Amino acid sequence: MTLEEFLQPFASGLDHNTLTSFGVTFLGGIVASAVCPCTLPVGVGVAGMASASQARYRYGGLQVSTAFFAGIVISLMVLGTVAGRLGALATESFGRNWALAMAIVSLIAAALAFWRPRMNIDALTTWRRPGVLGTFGYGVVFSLGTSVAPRLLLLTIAAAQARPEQGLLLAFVFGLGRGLPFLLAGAAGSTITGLTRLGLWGRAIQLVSGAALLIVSVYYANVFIELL
Amino acid sequence: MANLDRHSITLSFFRRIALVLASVISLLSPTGYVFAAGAPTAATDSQPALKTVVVPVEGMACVVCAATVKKTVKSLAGVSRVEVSLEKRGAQVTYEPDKVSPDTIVAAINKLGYKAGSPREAP
Repeated sequence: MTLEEFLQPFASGLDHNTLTSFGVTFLGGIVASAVCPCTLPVGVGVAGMASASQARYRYGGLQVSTAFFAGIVISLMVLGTVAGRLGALATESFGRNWALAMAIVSLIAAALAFWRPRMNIDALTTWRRPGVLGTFGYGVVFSLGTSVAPRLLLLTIAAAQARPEQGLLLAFVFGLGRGLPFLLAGAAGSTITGLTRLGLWGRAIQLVSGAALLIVSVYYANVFIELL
Repeated sequence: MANLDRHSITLSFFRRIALVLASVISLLSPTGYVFAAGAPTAATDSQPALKTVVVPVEGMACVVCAATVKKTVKSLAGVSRVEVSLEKRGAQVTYEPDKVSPDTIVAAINKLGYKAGSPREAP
C-alpha cells in the first residue's frame, strides 16, 4: 500500500478539524514510516544510540530516543508553518545534500559510540546534555528528508489546510505518528540493554551500536552517490 | 598584384588539400567523425534523437525512494538523463526512442513497488 492509497479515501474528512482527521493524519504518519525505506536502517541506528546511552547512564536510552522523536515532531511542526516553501525541500539537489548530511551525522554518531566507552565518568557526565541535543538535531535533519513528501501529499489532499493553526496542529499529529516507530525502537534498544548484565555485555553493546550507525552512514553515502 | 594572385593560389591549393584529407579521414573512420570545424559533419547528423517524458510516480515517501527510482531508470539502456521530483511526484526522463520505450520505463518503476502513471511528453 502506498501513502496515496491510504489517504485518498479520507480526502474529504481531512478538510475539517475533526477527531477523524487527526486520527487519519496520525495513522498517515505511521504509514509514512512503514513505507519509507529509511525507517528500518535509521530505526536500527536509533535503537543502537539508545542502547549505547543506556549502557552509560540510567534512562539514557529513553532520553536519547525521546530527543530523536521530539526532533521529528518539532521539525514537522516548523515545516507545517512554512507549507508554501516545502517544495524547495523536495528537489533532487536538496535530497543529495541531505543524504550527505545524514551520512556525516551518522558517521559522527558512530564515532562517538565507539569512542565514548573510553571516556571517564566526569567526561561522560559533561557529554550527556550535548549528546541528547545532538540526537534531537539528528531527528530534525532526518525529518527534513523523509517527511516533506508525505506532508506535501497531505497538503495536496487536504486543500483546506490553508489556515496556519490547522496546518500546525495536523503537522504535530502527523509528527507523532512519524516519530512513534523510532521512539519504540529506542525504547526496545534501551530495555534490552537494561536487562543485560552491563559488566559482561557493555563493550559488545557499544560495538554493535557503533556498527549499526556506521551501516546507516554507508547507506546514506550510497544514496548520495546514486543521486549524483 | 602578381604577388597577391600567387598568395591566393597558394591558399586555395592548401584549402583543397585540407578538404581532400578531411574526406579521406571521414571515409576511413568507422564513426564518421571528422576533426574539422565549420559545416555540419556526419557526427551531427548521426546524433540520436532524444525524447523527454514526464512519468508520474506514486508511492515515493522520501529521498531514498527518489534515489532508487533514479538509479533504476538510469540503468536502462538508452536512458540518458533522469530527474526525480518528490514535490511533483514524478520523474522526467530523457531517452533514445530507438533503444528504450516509455512502457519499459514504466515497467521498471512498477517493478520497484511504486506506481508509475502514463508518461506524457515534457513541456
